[in-house]
Amino acid sequence: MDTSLLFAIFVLLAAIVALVPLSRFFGLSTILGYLAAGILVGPYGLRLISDTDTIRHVSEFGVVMMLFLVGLELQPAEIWRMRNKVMGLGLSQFVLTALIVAALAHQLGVSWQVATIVGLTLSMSSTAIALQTIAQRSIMQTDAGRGGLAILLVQDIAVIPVLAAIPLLSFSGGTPEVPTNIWDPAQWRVAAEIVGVFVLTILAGRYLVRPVLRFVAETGVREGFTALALALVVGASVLMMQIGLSPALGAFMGGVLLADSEYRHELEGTLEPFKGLLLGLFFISVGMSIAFSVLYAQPLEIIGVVLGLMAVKGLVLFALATLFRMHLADRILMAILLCQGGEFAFLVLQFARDQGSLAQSGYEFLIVAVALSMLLTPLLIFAFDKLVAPRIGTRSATRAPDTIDTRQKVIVLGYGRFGQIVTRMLRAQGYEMTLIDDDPAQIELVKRFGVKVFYGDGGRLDLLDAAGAADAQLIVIAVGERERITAIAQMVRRHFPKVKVAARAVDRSHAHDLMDAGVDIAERETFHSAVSLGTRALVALGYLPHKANRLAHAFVRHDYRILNESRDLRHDETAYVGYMRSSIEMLNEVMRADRSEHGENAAGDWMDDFTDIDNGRQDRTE
Amino acid sequence: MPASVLFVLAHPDLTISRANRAIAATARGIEGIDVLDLYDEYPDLFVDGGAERRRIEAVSAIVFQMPFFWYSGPSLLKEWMDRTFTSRWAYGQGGHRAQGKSLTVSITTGSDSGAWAPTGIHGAPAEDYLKPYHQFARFCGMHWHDPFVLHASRTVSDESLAHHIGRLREHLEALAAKAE
Repeated sequence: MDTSLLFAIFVLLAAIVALVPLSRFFGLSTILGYLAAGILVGPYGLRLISDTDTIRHVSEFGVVMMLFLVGLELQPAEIWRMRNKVMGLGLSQFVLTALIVAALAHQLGVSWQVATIVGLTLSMSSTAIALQTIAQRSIMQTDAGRGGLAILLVQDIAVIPVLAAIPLLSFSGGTPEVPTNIWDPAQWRVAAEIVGVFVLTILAGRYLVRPVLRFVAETGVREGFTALALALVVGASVLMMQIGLSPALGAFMGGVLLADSEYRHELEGTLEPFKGLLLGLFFISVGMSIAFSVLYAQPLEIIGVVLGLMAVKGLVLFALATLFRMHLADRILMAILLCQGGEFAFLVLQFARDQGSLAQSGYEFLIVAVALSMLLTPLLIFAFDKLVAPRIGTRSATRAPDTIDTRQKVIVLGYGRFGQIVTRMLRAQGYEMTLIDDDPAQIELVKRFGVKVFYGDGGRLDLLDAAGAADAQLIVIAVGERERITAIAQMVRRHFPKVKVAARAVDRSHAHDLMDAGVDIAERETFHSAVSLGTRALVALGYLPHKANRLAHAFVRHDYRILNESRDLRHDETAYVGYMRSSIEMLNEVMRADRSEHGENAAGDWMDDFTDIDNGRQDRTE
Repeated sequence: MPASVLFVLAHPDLTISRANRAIAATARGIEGIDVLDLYDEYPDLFVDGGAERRRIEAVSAIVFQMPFFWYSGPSLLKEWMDRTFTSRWAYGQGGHRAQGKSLTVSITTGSDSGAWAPTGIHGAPAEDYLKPYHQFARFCGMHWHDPFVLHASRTVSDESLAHHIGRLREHLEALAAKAE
């Protein structure tokens, strides 16, 4: 095996181990640690990895994997729900920033074609930095988080038309000063190809990939699924390279086409372990790609462009956030979150260079500028936390209780007979739920009724992570088997201590196990139906329905008490049996008490105008 | 110190009631007052009469806090009275267990005081419609206290609300202190 590759891998991992915990220790973002690691081992640091090919491969694979996961997040339904923010905030951010940056670039003496490419490219922000920061600070529900997401969504989508437009802006031959005739059919061919491939991928995703995913999922071989997930990423990349496009774009489109499928969470879960590290690799490659030679050669120009870029983007964001009436802290945070150049810049700039739209020197200059702006962002966030946030109060403390439209997520594991009933009740109240089941046949069945259930094993931590369990309000465990329910309950409690957990219990002792595991709600699956049947049995035997219902209430209340009181006794068999025996006597007492403790019956006896009806029984035939 | 006042709060949805929510918070802040949020205690409207009787036996004063629905308290309060103040406990043979305790009724109404004038839509002062509660107290041998009435509870100014709550608080504190 190639020892230099192994050595490179070792160096990268060692640098991560050394620098990432260190940056955490100093209260800085881990992104900064990765970037520092990249600079350290790169061609301008210790030169441990100076082979540009290795750098490029590392960086490319990191970007590929990240864009696949970004694409996976891009659900059409999610976009639709946020359409106001997406159209208003996202679109205006993109267009406005692109216009201003392009105009400034043109002012600096760049041709309008290149200025347009620069404007479009630099108006995009770093999804990796912003999403990671949003997730780490759990601010997805705040204005800054939602607004940021809407803007990123627009940028993600904009990549496709931008890439399609670049060939039209390119220069013919090797003379960068002569603009191409944009009516040249050869230029249109590339644009048409890009759009065509995109349409084709969507069709393939719907009619080819999903059946394969289902087939592999049904076999239940986990490695098979992992291999398939990776094969999809790589396959989509290869396809794009075949038509001369960036592999990262292919991965992104591969993600988009699977975003709507029921296997999204499972795919996310499968790729999650790779994601963190590969994202790290991506940031490392950013660190390595900061060509300090360019910085030495044109220090003032670079610094001016970086600061100018961040200022323009930040001001546009701040102005728009003001327009959308965000809280001051949210406005500032969102402006900082998205003021840098993004990973799409690497992709688009590279593509523009390869298409001849951009000269090599301009390419290098812009790459360094973008990388530096990414390096500065975590520092700005750090400064925001230390200097700005304490003064203005990060969240509007006086805000009224949230309105109903910001419902937190509910995750339901198991969509069988039990889960379906729970789900119907919550859905009727307008709750949006993530439903997860591991039976492909069941998923297919309910799909016909318009219910979207994700395929996956609810007992897998990575899957729950991918489904957003950490930010969920409630997790309902409605799967079937006793041991599995207990195991999931214990796992959820351990990893997501803040989330409320409601679990299906098989019987009383299982309910005890679940209470020990710390669930908030444990309900025995047959208890209430049996009580209900018992109540109706009493009515059939001649009891007044209201009386039978009261007896049922008394019984349920008594039984919950027994459930709680016997919990501590259950490991002592003698005590437990003794308690259960006495509980029968207690029950008889409770049922009698509803009537006779003091001769009670609702207002019974009152001035003798309410005739006792013999323990509630009445002869209906009379 | 065990509670000496039972504050019975009968409002089916406190999230929409500014006045009752504020009053309940006030009562909760006074030592010696046991606040019983009826709709919270009995979400299924199933009142445990035995438990409620034991609760009442422990205190010397009872307060009803409620919005005025159809010239009366919310239905669960009536159910609570029916299930709790039963024969041979509250009245009848051997039934004098509530005797000597005091009863204060405190209501909030949606209409302004003009509506409760003889020419208004309600035709009589709200106090008149409290007669059944007054007679209930008399029948059980409880001391009747002048009721507290807050009109226009949704639109009343913050100052008037605070003033009303201040008066009620004084009364509650006096009840809690007297019992010691």
